[in-house]
Amino acid sequence: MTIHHIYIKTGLAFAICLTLSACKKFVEVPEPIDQISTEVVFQSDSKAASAVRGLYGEMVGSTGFFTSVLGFSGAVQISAGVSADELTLSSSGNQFNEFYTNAISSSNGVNEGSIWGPTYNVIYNTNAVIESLDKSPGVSATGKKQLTAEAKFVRAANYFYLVNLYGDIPMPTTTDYRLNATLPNIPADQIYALILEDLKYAKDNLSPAYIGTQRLRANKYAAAALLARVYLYKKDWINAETLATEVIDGAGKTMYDLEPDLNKTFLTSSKEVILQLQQPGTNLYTWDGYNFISSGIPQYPISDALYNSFEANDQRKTSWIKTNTVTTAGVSKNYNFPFKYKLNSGTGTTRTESMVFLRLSEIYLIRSEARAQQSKLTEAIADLDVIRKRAINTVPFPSTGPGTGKDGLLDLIAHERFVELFTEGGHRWLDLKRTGKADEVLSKKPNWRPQAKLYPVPKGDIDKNPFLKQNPGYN
Amino acid sequence: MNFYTLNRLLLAMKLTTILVFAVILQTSAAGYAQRLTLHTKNAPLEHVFKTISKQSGYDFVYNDFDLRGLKVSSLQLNNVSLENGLQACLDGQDLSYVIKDKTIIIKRKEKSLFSKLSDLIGLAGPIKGVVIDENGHGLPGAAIRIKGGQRISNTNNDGEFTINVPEGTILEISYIGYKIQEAVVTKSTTKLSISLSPDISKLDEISVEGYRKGSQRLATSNISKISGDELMKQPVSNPMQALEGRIPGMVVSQVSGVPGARLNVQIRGRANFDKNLTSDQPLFILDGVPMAAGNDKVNLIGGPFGPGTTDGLSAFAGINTADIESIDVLKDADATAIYGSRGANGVILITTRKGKAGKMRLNANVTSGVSTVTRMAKMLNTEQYIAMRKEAFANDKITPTNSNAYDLKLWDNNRYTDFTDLLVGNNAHTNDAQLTLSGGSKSTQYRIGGAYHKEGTVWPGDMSSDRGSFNLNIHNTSQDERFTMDLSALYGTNQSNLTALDLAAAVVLPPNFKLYDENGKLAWNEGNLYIQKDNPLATLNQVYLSKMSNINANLVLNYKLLKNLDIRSSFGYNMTQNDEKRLTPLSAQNPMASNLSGFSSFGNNQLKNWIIEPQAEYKGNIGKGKLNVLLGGTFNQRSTAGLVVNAKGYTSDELIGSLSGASSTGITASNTASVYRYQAVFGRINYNWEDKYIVNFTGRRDGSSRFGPDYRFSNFGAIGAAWVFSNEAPLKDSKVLSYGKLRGSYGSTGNDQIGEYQYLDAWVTAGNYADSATLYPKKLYNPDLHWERNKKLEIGLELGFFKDRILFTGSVYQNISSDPLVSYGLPKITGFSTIVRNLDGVEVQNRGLELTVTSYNFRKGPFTWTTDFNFTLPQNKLKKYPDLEKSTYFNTYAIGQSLNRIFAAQFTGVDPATGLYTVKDVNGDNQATTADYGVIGSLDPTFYGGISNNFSYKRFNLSFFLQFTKQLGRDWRTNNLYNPPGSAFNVPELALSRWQNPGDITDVQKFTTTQGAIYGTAGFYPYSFSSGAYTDASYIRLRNVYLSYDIPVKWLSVVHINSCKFYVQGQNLFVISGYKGGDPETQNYTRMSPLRTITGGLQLTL
Repeated sequence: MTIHHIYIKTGLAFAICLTLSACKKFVEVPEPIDQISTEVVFQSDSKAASAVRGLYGEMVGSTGFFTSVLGFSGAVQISAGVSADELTLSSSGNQFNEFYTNAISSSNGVNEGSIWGPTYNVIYNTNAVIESLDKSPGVSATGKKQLTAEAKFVRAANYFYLVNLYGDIPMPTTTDYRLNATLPNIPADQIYALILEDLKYAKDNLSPAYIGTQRLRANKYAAAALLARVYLYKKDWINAETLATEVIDGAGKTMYDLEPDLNKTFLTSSKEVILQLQQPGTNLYTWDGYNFISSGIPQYPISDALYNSFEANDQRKTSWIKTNTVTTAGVSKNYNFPFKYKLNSGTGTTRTESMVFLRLSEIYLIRSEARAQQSKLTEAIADLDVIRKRAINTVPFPSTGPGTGKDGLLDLIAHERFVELFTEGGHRWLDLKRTGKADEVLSKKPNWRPQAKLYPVPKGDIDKNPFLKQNPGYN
Repeated sequence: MNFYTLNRLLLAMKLTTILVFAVILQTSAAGYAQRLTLHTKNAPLEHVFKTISKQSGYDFVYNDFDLRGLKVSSLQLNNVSLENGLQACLDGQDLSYVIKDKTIIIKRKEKSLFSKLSDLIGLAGPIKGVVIDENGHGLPGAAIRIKGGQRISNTNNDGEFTINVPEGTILEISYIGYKIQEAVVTKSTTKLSISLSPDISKLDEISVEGYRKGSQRLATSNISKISGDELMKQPVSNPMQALEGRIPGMVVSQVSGVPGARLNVQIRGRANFDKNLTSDQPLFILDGVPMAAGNDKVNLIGGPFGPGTTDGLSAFAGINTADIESIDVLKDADATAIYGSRGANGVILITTRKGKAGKMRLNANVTSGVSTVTRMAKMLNTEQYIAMRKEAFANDKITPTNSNAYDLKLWDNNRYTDFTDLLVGNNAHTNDAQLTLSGGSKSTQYRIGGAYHKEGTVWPGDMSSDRGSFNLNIHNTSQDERFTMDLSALYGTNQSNLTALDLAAAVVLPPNFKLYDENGKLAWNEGNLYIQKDNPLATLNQVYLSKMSNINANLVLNYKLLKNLDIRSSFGYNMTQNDEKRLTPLSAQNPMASNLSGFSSFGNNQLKNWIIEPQAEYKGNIGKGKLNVLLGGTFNQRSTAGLVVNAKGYTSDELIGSLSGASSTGITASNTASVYRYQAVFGRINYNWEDKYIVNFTGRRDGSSRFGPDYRFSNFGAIGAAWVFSNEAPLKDSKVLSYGKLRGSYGSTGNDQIGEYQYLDAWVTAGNYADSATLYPKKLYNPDLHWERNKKLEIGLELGFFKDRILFTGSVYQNISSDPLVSYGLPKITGFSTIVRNLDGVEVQNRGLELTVTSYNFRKGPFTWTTDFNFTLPQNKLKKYPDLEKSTYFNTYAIGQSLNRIFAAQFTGVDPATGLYTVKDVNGDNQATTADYGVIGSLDPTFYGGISNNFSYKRFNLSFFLQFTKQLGRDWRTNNLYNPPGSAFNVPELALSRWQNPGDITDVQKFTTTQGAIYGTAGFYPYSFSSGAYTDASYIRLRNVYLSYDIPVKWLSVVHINSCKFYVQGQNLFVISGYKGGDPETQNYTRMSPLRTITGGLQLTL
């Protein structure tokens, strides 16, 4: 008996030793072929750069060709465009109808699934990249600096839109879902603080040169340009002017210059472009082109308010807007639609158009406004006329009158922004709100109510997060 | 023989003679008793003689030449006479003895004249034989009788006997505890090998448990078993089909009658909280090897196997049912805990047939039969249909136009096709042939089998599913019986040649649909209107082809290290591979469809599993009890690889099977691969005190690669105990109660069936950005993903009455699954809308009562009658869910209710005034929304079970099996969702009882072409999501009838046949059910019902 016990004990001890030493290793499986773990992604500069490219790609990407517009791929242009006075809808059955009528339900699918959700998804991705780069032993110090700066740029850009569309919002800065799932709304000022911090970091750590042959990844000037915009929104006129100047003069005309031909402004070859976002994958170049360009009745016609705002001889009215005449039941009607991008869908493998995220004319207009606010009226007019001069090619050029007062000049700048930046990244909607003109301008719309200036926080999230509060005027 | 050897021999002979004399001188001096007591094993005959000589005082005289090398294998003689003792010693030897005075003279046997003659001319002479048990060991003391006559011989200690009988004699060999066996002596018979099979109480039948075998009598756990013989009675190609209704606590449900389709198997209720994430399928182990595919579908592209996402081709379609010896279903904690994290949903062990010792046997079995659909709804004929359509337009006050009433306006109103009859009304022919060779010696037994099975379909055209299979089993024991080897190998290949769609779905075509044009070719778009109603006969051109192969191999090496200690290891491999394609040529498509082009899909799926399990087992006695300790480890890897290629743009149907015919931009491909590793150390201690008190502890420490690094390992264990109270002194001699046992078990198992890599913070790629690859996080990282645990409690009472003639078992169980793994909804501010996580604190409870009764109603004489009955009363409920109302499941589930509850509006019948279906508007807002919903019931069966009766009279055997279920199911009226009777779809004749005039009270609404408002409270649409959509779908089905006749042995002996049996089998012969409009199992008149199969066959053993 005893001898058996010894055998059993020995066998048992042996088996346990064997399994304990072998098993931990044994149940570690190799990575799946179609997935990579964080650890592997951030092993080298090149793979980490793929993750950063993914951030830009996600901003404009979509999961399928026919799925709804997502993030900056069109939802912002359209939702903000119809919410303001730039765009109208040709059919009340359109998914943006609640935006157009300024009566968005808190369970609106586009609001939740195409704006709120994808934007927070990109923010998660930026947080994942920032966290992982910080921990990564494999990525070089210069690589870390460059990539973290790009990720922070993308995070700032996304928070910029969220805070402007929704007001006080939750601000996840980590990847811990347990923490993030119960985050409360925090005041917009705190969101802006993060945006400024991120953009300053980006500006300090990005190089002036672009990576790659096109302007698809943020450089120092892209960060400065977005920073200039944020300072403008924050009414920090001095900084807005300084940063705009940094962009306009810092790189020189060899890098950034207005494209004299308006039809080339939005091409990938445009020298005016500070940052473009490229639609990954499909043969669709921009969602803007896909959504706006039509051969019949366009889905998103330009509003009369915008169409009738152009000065005489403004070439933008003909270059950037196209008109279709459609005859229904013997009655002909003209439909005007945005034509900044010329292609509805791509035609070949060489992409000629990508969505413009930041371009030089906005920077001139930022500086003009910042200077006007500081009562530097002559310089402000000079900047304004740089933009006007390209669009209005009459001789002599009708320069902005030097006697225009500060308020008058600000109105002219606001008008110039309307006709220059229409249907680009929701500028009109955000401008009306930040300048306090929204109620005045939009009360012409039938259902306008002041609370419509903020979009509702999606009910789906409020249902799942007890600390999340709805914006006033929504249930 | 050379000179040297001869000299040595002569010398030896002289010496022997001297020695013999010495013995005589020495032993003659004393007087001795003439009774012998001998206990020897493998002793040289010479030694035995010496011992006898010592005891008896008799001397031996022999020539040592005759004794050279002779041994007595085993002798256990107590106080026998000298003569008997000598007889026993010399039994089987070619020696005889003569006693003269006190001397025993040993001589070589003189052959009799008869013997010499018969040797010369080859007549039947003395016949030697051996009687062995099922393990190949000789049975000592078995009686040999001439049939109907006297005992003529008994077997010796090695089970051998020698007899002298004339040719043609029928022998009857009997042994206590074994079935009587007959054997025929033929002209050429010289050696008989008779293998007896045990005739045992059901209680003592051996079941396969986890890592051991045991009988029900001494089991502490709940294991149900189906024997291969029961499986063989059923003409089914998928062994899972044969389990329907047979196992208490297990629901097997058939979704489709298409050959090869998988069946759903669920043991003791639903425990998976999130149906889309985790599986509730049990663990399937084939000859010790976990099946790589399990009960999952193996096809990657869509086939005709059913409408659901889990419906598909089953790996079981590649397994030959006839090769299965038994299927054991392990249910409670005690039985399943040894499978640890894989045992939460129960374990099904499939064991293949093994060879038996004895002479080589050839067994041939051929079956042929026909299958037809059982209950398809009778649809309207053209006259009724046209009338229905006209009435619908009149009711709707809509003017029929070419576009909304093409069937009335553009189509021939007199044409009629019975689509049910045309599309699924054909006879499916089944042919099956089996050939096995088995036999072996005490040390080696083998079984080799090959089989072919072909199953047609009830669709028109020549389509079928074929299976070829091969099976090999070898058992080998070393000379010293310390080392054994068991090898089992199985190969099956299943070839499907089917259409890509179940044609039964087309029974809803208007009966005046035009099938052929004037030239006899397939017709399309009568009236030149494209309405997406395609010619179902063209669908036949859309083919689904698959070749699936299964390999399963297992080798077990066992070494008896010490008397009580065995070490062994098993090495197993299982692979399922499926190569498939679905072709949609232009000829299968409507010529008016847009973007017309041929397209095809190709799929290749490979699932491999290997497992190595080293074990050590100790068996010994401690005190009055028997101790069995098992210690083992598992190393298991499952890897899968799949490839799908879709190709479109074929301009010619001829090239559709190739990729080269597709347009270059029309080819898209995707692939998947995964690895799952599983590792464990397990142990079991079983202690049995005098067969009265039995206790069983099992424990397992498991590691699974499916979880994050911190949660990969976990412990599982169980305790089971049994008290066989009938072995207690006061009950031991009871005339009534022959067996009584109380058992209980408690323990935990786990569930890791969530697929691979769910814990990984995975990054995936999606297109290029700036001309380079991108990566983005696919999902949220959840490092806390851990096991879902299932705690199982069971108490069972087992009773046997009147010498186990009536056996009763009753079990109550309670399984609580906690921390279910779900895909949980999150606010989107986290970046994602769901995360795979455990719902901590949530518990799902499955409770139930299982009863089985086995009764040997008649056992005496030529007539026997046995009845088996099983019954299950299950209950499923959500036990705990903290803050359920705040979760994303607040509408789906409710505390105290089944996970399968039906939450819908209250159906209030057909409004006699409007003729429309109405649902109750609880909150009075004129809308039917979830606010108006209530709990209607659940889709769980209320109870289910089966009863089988087996009669045998002389050589006839008849058995039938009835299965019953009480359940709710989908009502026929909702089968064609969104299309109310009156729209351009045919409906069952049942619809004729519709509402016609105000005041009519009926259960079918008026004919209409409109489905009603989605949130409205009246009409077809709201009705489809109300309690009215569910109806009683209970049924009693005559699942199986089997009748066989054994041809008498004496007729067969002439042609050297051992046995011959004719049989007739019937499956799904009829069903008794109140369910209207189709089959109560499939619950849908647009789907193929289970098939009724009748086959006949012949089984021969040579």
